[in-house]
Amino acid sequence: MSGEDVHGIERDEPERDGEPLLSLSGVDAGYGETQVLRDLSLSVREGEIVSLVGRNGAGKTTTLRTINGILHPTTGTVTFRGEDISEFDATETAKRGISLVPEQRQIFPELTVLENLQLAAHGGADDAYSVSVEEALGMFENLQDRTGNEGSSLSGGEQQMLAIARALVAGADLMLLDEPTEGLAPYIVEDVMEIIADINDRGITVLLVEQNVQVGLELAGRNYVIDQGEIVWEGSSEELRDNRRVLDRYLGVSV
Amino acid sequence: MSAGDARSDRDSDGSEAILRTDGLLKEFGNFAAIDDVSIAVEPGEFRSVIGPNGAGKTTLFNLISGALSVTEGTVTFQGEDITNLPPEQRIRRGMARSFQISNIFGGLTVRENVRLAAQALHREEYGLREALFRPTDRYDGINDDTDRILDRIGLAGVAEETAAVLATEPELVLFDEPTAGMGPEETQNTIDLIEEVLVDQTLILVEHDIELVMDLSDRITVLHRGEVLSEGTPEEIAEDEAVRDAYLGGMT
Amino acid sequence: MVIGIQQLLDGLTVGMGYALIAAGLSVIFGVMYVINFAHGELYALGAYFALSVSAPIGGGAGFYVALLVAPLLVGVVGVAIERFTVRPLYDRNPLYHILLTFGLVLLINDLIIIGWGPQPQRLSRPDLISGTFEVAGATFSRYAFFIMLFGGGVTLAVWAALTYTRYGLIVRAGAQDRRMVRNLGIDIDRYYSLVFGVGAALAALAGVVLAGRSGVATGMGSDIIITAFVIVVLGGLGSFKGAVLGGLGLGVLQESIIRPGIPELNWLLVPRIFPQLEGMIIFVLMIIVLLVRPQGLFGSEFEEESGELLVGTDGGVLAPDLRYKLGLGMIGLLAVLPVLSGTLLPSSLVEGLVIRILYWGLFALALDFVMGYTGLVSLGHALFWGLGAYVSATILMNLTESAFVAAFVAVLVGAAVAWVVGYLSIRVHGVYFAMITLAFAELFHNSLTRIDRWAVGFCETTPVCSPEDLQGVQITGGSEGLFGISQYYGIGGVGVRLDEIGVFLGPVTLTGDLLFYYVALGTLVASFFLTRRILNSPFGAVLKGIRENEERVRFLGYDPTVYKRRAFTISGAFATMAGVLFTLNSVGVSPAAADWFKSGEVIVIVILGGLGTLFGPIVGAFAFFGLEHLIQDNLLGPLQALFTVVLEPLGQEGLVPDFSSRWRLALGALFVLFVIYLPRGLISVPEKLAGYLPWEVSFGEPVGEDERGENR
Repeated sequence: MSGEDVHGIERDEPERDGEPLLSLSGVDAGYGETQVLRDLSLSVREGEIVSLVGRNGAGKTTTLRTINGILHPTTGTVTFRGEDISEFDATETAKRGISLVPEQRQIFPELTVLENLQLAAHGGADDAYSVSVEEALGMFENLQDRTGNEGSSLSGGEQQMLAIARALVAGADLMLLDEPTEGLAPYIVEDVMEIIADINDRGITVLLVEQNVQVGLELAGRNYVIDQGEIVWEGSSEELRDNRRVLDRYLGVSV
Repeated sequence: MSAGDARSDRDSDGSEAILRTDGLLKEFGNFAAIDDVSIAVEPGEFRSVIGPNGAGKTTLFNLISGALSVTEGTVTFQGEDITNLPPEQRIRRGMARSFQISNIFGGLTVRENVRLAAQALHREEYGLREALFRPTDRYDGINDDTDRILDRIGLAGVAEETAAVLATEPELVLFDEPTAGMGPEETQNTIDLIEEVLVDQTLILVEHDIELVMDLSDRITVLHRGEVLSEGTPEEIAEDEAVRDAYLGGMT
Repeated sequence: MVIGIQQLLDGLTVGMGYALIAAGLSVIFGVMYVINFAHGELYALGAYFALSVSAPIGGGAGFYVALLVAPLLVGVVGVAIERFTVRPLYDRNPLYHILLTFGLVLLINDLIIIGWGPQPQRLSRPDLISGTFEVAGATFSRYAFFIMLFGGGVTLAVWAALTYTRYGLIVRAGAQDRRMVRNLGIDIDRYYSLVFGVGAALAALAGVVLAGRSGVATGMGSDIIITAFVIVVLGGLGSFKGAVLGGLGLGVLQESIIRPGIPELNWLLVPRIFPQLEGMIIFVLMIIVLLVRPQGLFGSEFEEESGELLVGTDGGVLAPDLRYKLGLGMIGLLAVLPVLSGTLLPSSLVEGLVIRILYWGLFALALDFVMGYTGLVSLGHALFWGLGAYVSATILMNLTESAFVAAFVAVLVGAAVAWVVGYLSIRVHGVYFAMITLAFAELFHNSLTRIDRWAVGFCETTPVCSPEDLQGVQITGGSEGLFGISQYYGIGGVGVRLDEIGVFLGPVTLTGDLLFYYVALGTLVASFFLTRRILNSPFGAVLKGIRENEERVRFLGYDPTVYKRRAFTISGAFATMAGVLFTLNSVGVSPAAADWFKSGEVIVIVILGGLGTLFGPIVGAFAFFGLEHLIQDNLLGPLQALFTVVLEPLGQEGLVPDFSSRWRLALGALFVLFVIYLPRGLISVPEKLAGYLPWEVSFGEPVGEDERGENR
């Protein structure tokens, strides 16, 4: 199965003279004195699903954090809809329509499912694509029966669904998904993949960081391979699948 | 060869193993990160544990080192059941584990780092009063060990970490992705160093990258979704279809 | 019936006040991770504002207006505190919040005294809710019912706001995971002021309501804050429900059960044991809860997202040998001070101020050994100071006048207590550790006034001894303490009394206090070199390793808990020695020796000087008491004069505030500025200055204590 013909690329929204929705150019970033990202550049066009793959410690999550505003680039810029958002914090990027679904999901453990969603409705971007709490519950059937349950009582799969639903309610034009299938049973991985495809169909652009190369390859139109904080390869899923050298060297997946 | 065969092979002659796990289970909530994992490592062996991300490698590593508690099953080290011992007790029985470089004591000198490790070994040799009041530079045994190790190993990056590990004179060394975040050249140097310096020790290396450990390992255990998918010599693993599928998710 | 209705009512009344205070404190902690010691002062401020608001209006109406206006005013004060002082510190370790809010305690407390005077006052309340009424033959206080109805109403309203409103939802979410709230595009920082303001207003409301019951007094804030912390810990840090139920529960426990006692249960225990333990049981409860269920009865575990401690060494630009020379120079200078006393220097300066600085320097050094080197923030070091003071005083009064024996025994006792406290406390982390040490210290503090009574009670009820045996024996001397201490320096009756000898140095004769000065200086210098030695030993190497990365030390085969416990024991022993010096220098000791305020002050001194260095705390002690002295002598007089000059021509002499001995006001303000702008302490000043100079300054190589240059 190949990615592009189902989701993404060909369904592009009209672009503003080809200007990407999000672009990072020449970004250096890290924690304190430890530099993680080195001269990293990538771009995401409106309507795409782009995956960012790489080994442990390659800088995937750091990239998402730099876009989201938890970290700021020491050099280089992050641009969203043509606006320089390098120095924006997490609140400001969320208000612009960038929504992060973090690796640990970070469901509020003592709020109910409903409250988790209601909270999201108070945040996020006003003019970005968003759904109401009711619509979100309609999309995620397994959350419907559990609206009164506290977040901490949900299973890993349900938490992931809730995290994505929460991001949808908050409103997002660009959703940053950090390892959405990590630790989930295989049949739930399929569900999560369907949902990602579905939200992309609704016009939301997705930047996906995945541990599971297969998930990335199946969903994404374009892939970036990151290694040691640098983008070392870029191309379509077919190209990546056939590129033994890249799979071998940077992802350690070929035998 | 199948996973089942690989395991029963090892079990039959596992009695002389320096480290073995039996039916190890680790659950986080309802999710079994490690499910019925039994491995046996012989003295002097270089064992690699590999698997795709999320396979449970780091969890297994933490169960062996004691950083996480076991849900079910046992860990045996040199014939002793250490399942319920805290990490420091395991270390005192002859284990050592590496940390990623970012984890080393940044505020101490390289020498202080290595000396702190060497000191752990000599702990029984001096009384409380000495330990409290005698300056560290007057402990000849500790300082000789420190010097010896510093002479033996060049000092940059991971070498410092390896030196600290070596200073505790372990029987068994656990490495958790020692080359994560390194470039190809640095990776190679690290691997060379580990191979050269720790040749006498038993090693368990947890690694994401199969290629990296192919040439070094005596045996390789492949984890997938918390279970042992396969185990065997590098040659056997290289030809194992199940391993290939696990890594590429059956996309070929 | 086991508990009388009237008693239950008393308990619920007081408990309602507690609930209002604790609720704000708990939610402020949960959302902002700020340990607000000033919360008690906000409560007091509420009561005092009520005085001023209600007096001009008078009668019943005044009270009702005050009930509305005072909390509003305090709420505004709370918002201002959050905006201008707490906000710059959010990323820092909670230790700095303790320091900051401790400074605010000093500041507000003195402002209250300046504004309203030191004498207790009454808040008159309306007739409608005064007096009593009778139901079925029993008499009830109207005011108690008013407190319960009104307090209950307010609590319900806040609960409803937290549960059903948008603000409440955001605040609750913020208490669970601030970062994720930000990720959702909600500006949680904007809500901090609101939370702080509402918390302050609730405390003020409790102040007004309880002032109507038992009046207004200057110490009311610091009296209640510790109780409030107990409630917050019992209920669970950050839990509103826990704070309310904990407050009510504690009120009932104290007023309905412990104070009156339960006659039906007396056969179980030594007669009258409950009333004797009043004020102590809550700390035992607090310790048990912290050990068994640190998250409290209703709280949930939360991740401590705390910034690191800003250790002074990182800011050191002075080369080791320069520092060494500076240190020696300082010791030399200190050694000649008494010779100049009475001629070049006023004798009170050396005999009073500098001696005090010396033993406080030792106290701070002791705290820093455990706080700066293992990261354990002890809020209970007054325990050891108090132990040193009392054990040595008891020995000197009852057993022998040998200062050496007294000091030796006291330090042994101090070390043993430190080991036990450490054994129990070090298993809990961070803020819980701070709270459990606070509980131990308060337990000791509260027992000081009762030990003699216990001894008598013990001898009355057991055949081991008879009350006559205790004639003339004073163990702690109750609330007055022990007075009339004298001692000689020697053992077995052989030794010298400092008052009876003189050392002639040319024109100067040293005797009495001036000789004691050398005892104190010698002890401090010896302790300094001893701790320095310990830090350079294998033990010290492990401590430094723990400071860098505890997990890593564990995987070298060390058990960090054991090392921390030993460090705590050593620290306890040195702190006890400081308390001993205090006793030797005074004629008497009183329970104030173990007041929680001392634990706060010593933390302030350590941070003022510079955490994680050995000389920093000593520098801090000089700065702290030096500033106190300077402010007292040189700042308050002119301030008073200024007010007089302005107000006298206007015929308003009566309005001139009394600034005498209000130095804490300025000191508190200084801490606030200090913790915001100079968190690494005074020893980081050279580095800061070097940064401002237009040219490169060299104080020698900026290297650490050991061979840092090597291999790096």
